[in-house]
Amino acid sequence: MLRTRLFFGLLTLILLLWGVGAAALLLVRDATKRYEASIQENYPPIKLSRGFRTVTAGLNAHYLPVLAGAPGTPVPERSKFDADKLELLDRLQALHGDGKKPTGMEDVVLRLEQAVETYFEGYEQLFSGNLDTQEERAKLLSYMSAQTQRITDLSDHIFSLADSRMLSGTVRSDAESSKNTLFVTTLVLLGTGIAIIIYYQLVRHMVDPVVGLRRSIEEIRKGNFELTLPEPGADSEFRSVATAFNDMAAELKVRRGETNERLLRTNLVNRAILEAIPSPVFVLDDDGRILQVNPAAERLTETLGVANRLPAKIQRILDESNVSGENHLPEDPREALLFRIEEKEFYYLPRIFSFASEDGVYSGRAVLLHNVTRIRWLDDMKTNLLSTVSHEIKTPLTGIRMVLHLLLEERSGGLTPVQKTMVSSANDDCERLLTTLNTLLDLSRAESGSTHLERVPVTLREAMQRAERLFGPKAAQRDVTITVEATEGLPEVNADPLRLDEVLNNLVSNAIKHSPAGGTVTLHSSQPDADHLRVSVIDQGPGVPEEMHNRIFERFFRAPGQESEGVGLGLFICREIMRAHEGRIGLKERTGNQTEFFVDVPIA
Amino acid sequence: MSPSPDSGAVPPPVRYKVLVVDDEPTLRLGFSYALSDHDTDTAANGTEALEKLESGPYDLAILDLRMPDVDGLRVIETLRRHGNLLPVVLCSAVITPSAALRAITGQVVDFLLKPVRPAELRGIVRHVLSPVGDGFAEAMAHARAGRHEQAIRNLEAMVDPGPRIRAWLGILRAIRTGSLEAEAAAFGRLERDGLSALAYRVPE
Repeated sequence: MLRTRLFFGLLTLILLLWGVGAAALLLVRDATKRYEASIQENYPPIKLSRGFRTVTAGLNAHYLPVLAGAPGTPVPERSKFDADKLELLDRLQALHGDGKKPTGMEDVVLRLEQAVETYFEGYEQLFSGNLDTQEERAKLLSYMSAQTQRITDLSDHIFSLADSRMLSGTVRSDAESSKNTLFVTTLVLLGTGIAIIIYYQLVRHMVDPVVGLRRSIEEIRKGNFELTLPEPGADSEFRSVATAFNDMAAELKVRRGETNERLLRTNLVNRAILEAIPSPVFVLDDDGRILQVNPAAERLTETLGVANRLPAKIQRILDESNVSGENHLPEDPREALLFRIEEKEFYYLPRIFSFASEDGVYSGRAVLLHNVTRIRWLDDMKTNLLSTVSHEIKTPLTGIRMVLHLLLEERSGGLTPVQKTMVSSANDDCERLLTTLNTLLDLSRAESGSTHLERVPVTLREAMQRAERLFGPKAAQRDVTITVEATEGLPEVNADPLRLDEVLNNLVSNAIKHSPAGGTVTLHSSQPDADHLRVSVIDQGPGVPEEMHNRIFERFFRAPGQESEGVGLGLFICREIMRAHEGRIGLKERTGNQTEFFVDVPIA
Repeated sequence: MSPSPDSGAVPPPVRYKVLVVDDEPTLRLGFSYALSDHDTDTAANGTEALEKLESGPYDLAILDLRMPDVDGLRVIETLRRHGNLLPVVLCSAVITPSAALRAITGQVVDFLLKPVRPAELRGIVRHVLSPVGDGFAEAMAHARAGRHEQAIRNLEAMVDPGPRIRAWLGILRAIRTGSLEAEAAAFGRLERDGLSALAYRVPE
């Protein structure tokens, strides 16, 4: 573990530090001690030896001038001599007592002892007073000075001996200390080595993994998931990091694999969808360059001779929609563009819409060419059918009807009752055929005309009254009463009056048709919710069987057993009209003996 | 439905000379029979009709819109170009809005929708040629003569305007303003409702 390694490494370093410090302290103390010892050892002889010269010099200065003077000069008291003699003997004793005398010192001390003996003998001679002659005096004086000189030399010798011994002690301690320096240096070098080892360990176990991690992260950012971190040893803290990182990289790789797979799949699905769309589709980028086209678009552009480019007509519309910044989504097949392909006419309705990714980074436009050729054809067919049916059927019918009417008018001569019955019957059939024909035409108009409402504010009461007026006579014929119950104070509705009348007329007509003789048809207005007004048409007829409630608004639905004429389109057309109004039409649950149809019309 | 034969109204005091133009022989025959109170002549196509109208004086022409060679509208336009202001009734199973506008521009304001009943045929002759006493007929007489303003005033003055009068008011007002938008609006209305609102009906 790096932690332990670091700990032990630094611990060693610290121990070394302590060691070096302790060694230095010990060495210093040792040197001091040795120096003190050397001083203690060598200082007494030096001091003692120095004393010899002083004492002898003092003695000489006190006594010897006598010798230089005239004979007979009295010799001073010998008491000083005795005192000094004792002191010199003490010093000699002390010199002897110095145990650790250096080599040669013993010998010199002995000689000094002898010299001091002889020196004392000279003074004994002086004190004896036998010196009468000048000659003897001079002789003693020179003897004394020679002895003094000798003591001085010897004491100097001792001094120099002690001195040199001290010096040699210093040299010895120098050698000692250089040995110590070597020791300390070794320790320091060792410490440095350990520090270097710790540094490399740190770099290897901490910095390298971090650098590796960073490099790997950068690689992953570039999309290279292949690079994995080398796993450090089991004891490294980075092992878990590296493992986690490698896991993450592996996960990312898998994810990217999945993403790629998903992209591929999405792409495939998109292609399949595009290929399945029979309409030519162009996907463009923002600059109008084509990114993708489907096979239908390829075929179209190839047959138009502008392989994989937008046809010029569409390009123009695209540019316009680009300028206006709006989608171009026409609904009306009449806005379709004509393309001539192999002598045939094709109509394509271009639908252009922009798309953008959620973050708005990617955007583009798609052009879908909706083939409305068939719709156009059907539209034309319907128009043609309308006029064809109108003309080709109505014209002969007009002739037939005219003739039947004229026959019934009996202008050209009377008819027998049988003839009259037959012509009447034929006339009835003719009228029914005409009604059916007109209803069919109405139907085609209602289906195509639901977008052509011309809505204005309409007062419901008036619409109800119009219906009442229109059907009054017919109702009277069948002994049915029409009553209008218009609630006061209702707002106007937003409706196409002609269409609304058509619906009401249909409902009222039905109500009359199904009313029993003597019954009442009620037109009632109310407000079922905030946005609508309601007209209810209530009759007292037998009602609609429960199971047919859902079907009565279907096209061509006719209640079974119904004897009234009609092709079953009336309520269907009504529903279409109400749908176009964003209104409602319905049949209420039967209550009492009343059947109630209602229409809800949006309020203006 | 019960047959509603016109059981011989009061014979009009005047016999008019009426030209029936239709490519259907049965219709020519039937129309002639129905108008037996008047002097009728027939033409089977536009060219023949124009020849007859050039050569002799007629009080009224009942023109089929759709005919081979020269159709009803071109007959009207040729007549008007030649300065002939003969009243014309345009008769067809379906009349497109553009046809209607062309007709009205050619001072033809009477339309009959096939299938035509004899009563309607007789009624429209009366309506066109002796409008006196009927407010709507008088108003339409103004329109027929190109006096649209007067026609509008008359129509506006009528009480209880039915869908027919409202439709005519709308169309005439649109034409009066002369603006393309108004005509387009009128066009749209016509397209939606067909011509049923404009066509002549026997007053019930």
